[in-house]
Amino acid sequence: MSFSLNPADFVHLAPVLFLTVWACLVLLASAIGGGHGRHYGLLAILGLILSGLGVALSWVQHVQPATDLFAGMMVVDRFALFLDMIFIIAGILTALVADAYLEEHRFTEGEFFALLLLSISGMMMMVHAGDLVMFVIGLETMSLAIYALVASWPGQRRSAEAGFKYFLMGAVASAFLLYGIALLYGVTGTTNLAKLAGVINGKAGEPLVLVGMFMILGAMGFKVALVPFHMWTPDAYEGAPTPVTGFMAAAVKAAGFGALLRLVAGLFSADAWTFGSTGWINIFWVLSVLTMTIGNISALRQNNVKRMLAYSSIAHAGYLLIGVVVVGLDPSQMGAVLFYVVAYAVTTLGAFAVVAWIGSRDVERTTLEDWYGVAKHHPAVALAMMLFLFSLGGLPPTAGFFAKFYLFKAALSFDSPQMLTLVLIAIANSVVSMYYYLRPIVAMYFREGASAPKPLTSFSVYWVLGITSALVLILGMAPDATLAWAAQALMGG
Amino acid sequence: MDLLSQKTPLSQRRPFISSLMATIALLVPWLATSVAWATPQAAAAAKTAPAFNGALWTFYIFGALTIAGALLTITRRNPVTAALWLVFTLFATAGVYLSLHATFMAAIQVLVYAGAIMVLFMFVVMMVGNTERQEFGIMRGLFSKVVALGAIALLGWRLISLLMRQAPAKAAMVSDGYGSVHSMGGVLFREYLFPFEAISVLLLVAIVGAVVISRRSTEEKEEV
Amino acid sequence: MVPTGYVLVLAAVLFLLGLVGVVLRRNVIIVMMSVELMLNGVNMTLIGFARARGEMFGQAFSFMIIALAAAEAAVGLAILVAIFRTRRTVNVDEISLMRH
Repeated sequence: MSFSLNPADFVHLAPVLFLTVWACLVLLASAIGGGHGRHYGLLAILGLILSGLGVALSWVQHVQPATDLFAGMMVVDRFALFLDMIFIIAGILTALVADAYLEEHRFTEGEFFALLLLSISGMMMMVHAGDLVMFVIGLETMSLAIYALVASWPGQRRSAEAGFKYFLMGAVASAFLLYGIALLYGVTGTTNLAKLAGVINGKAGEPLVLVGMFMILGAMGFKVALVPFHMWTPDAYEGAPTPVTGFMAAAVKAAGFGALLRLVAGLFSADAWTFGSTGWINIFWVLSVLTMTIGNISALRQNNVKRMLAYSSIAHAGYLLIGVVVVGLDPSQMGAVLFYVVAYAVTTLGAFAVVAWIGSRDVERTTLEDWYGVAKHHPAVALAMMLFLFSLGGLPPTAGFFAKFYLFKAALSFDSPQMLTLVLIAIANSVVSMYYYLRPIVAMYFREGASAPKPLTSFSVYWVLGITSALVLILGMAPDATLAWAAQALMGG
Repeated sequence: MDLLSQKTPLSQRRPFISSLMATIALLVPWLATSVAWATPQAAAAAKTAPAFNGALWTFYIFGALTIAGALLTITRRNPVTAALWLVFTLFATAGVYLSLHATFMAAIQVLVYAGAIMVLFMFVVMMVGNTERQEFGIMRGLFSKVVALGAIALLGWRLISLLMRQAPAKAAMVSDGYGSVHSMGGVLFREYLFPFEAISVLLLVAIVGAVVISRRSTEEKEEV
Repeated sequence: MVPTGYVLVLAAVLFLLGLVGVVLRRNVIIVMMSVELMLNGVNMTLIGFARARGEMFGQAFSFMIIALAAAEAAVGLAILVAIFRTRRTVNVDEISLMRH
């Protein structure tokens, strides 16, 4: 096979490469500048903004997708660029929260932000992957960085334990993913996604492909915390430093679903793999019902707000699976799913920012009792939290309402009884979920606190709360622009 | 301190270690000779004299050793013993790779896997210590373990029967340099150039991650 | 010449033995070693298929997996050391401070 290195390939991938280099820069800066209170977060944010500008430029100037970068290893299409933007925004908001949080809880900062940037470049590699090799490398770069971030809380036993549980189960999931890929390679002789799709479309019912497909999709189900594989989620989310938890719920979930969508709509899109008793649509239909129901029911009895939000993120993965099923039936409906991803990412980042805000050194204050009377002392923050919780529950006029609305509308457009059942179950779930979303609100507004909370005072957290609540309202009242962008974000588009 | 007064005197461990060493010592000549058998010329020569298929016998022997080593790895109580058996398994796997003409991968398997990665394991085992001898197996949820084992057995049965049926019937003929450093370099620096560079980011993450995780808190530092 | 089916079955057995180790063992270091066994099963599958097809891509992929295994082991063992520093056990069941 002839091969030549095309310098234009570097330009196409400039945002990813730039971010990776910038992460090294942050590392160097922290090596020279030393430990605490140096606000490396701002340096990281600068890099993210520059990289984001590159992504935006790439989106605007985009004439046709570049599908064959570095011998087909990488792809630049609007689907990937849209997800890049989500990662970058989530990264900026996380870095802002972390800047205040890390100082309060005495982390060493430089490496933390370097890992944050590296995990984002891993996510970008994953969604830009045109080959399963790059897909795996991106996924692992993201995952290893996240394991480390989860366990990064110095001297905190819970953090290390959460990191280890997540790591161990993640390593087993990776092994399954790799075995599945090995089987696909064996049957087709290639790991390039486009070539692979071409070959397996002609091999309907080939059992080794089927086994490989289920191993790969199962491993991805682990990454996005679908129900049989969700056991790690509550512990990892609870034990991790709160900004990391928010980042996991927003960006890692977006990356996981982005990769899942790329696989099901790009690779296993032929009818033979989609429909029928062994097609993935049926499986995901069942998993969707299980995930949202079990996620919501488990969240009902949580008194710890952080843990409750963890179960809520499982439930939202269930709703998002409806979107995956929808995309399987009609790939042009991608917009509704991506809009849901955006709305959930923004909302959950805001909610976890509040959770990060309320704790102070060595006191996390995540139980409901800790939240008593917050509204009296900090009415603005309580209002923002109420907004986020309404959005998670799907009440108007918030982002969550339109996200669910468009998702369910897309699901109902197929006029099939299965989809109708799925939507009805999802609506019933949303109603049930309102119960636990209301509990923190009741605690904040209608209970008297024994003592006033001593939250973080840094302005960066208030910035995040302001930005996220503005976004939640904008997406909830004028969703058209974002929806239009999401509708353009097609694979190979 | 008198060595004999230690809890587990060295004399008790020696039979195991020395038998392992002896096995490895026996393996080395076999490895060396199997390289010769596994080369394509030898395979071509074997065609004229089909009585002895060197690659296949290499595969049988190292395959058996691989399974034995893996079984011993997952059943040993002492992590040090398990780690040694894992090294043994990795060596045997390298032998299997040789029978598949993957000479470069066999070398990497020994150098990187059995060498570097396992040293890391041993280092941590020594650091963490194996003072606690864990009871094998059944601790939490006998039921769930039985179910899990059943599921694995089912998966294994289906998978293996499937692989037996679906495996490519005939392996391709390979040229002389197949699996050599040269051919590997050709792939790694052409088609796999970008992943090859990207994996350095992954290794960077691992290094930075290990530093971040193992850093002590400032309070702890003050105490120490 | 080695029949590809034999190689694949050996690799699958290696993978499954690793999985059994992960499920049954409670000593986390041995669990991590079992994960290494699973990855070796994957590598052998890739190399077996590469041999059957007479091409190098499978071997290059398994080369990547070895690097990946090294990175994974480094992070996992670092977390293990961090846990052990605060608590003297390497037993999976005992590593559970959080409520279920």
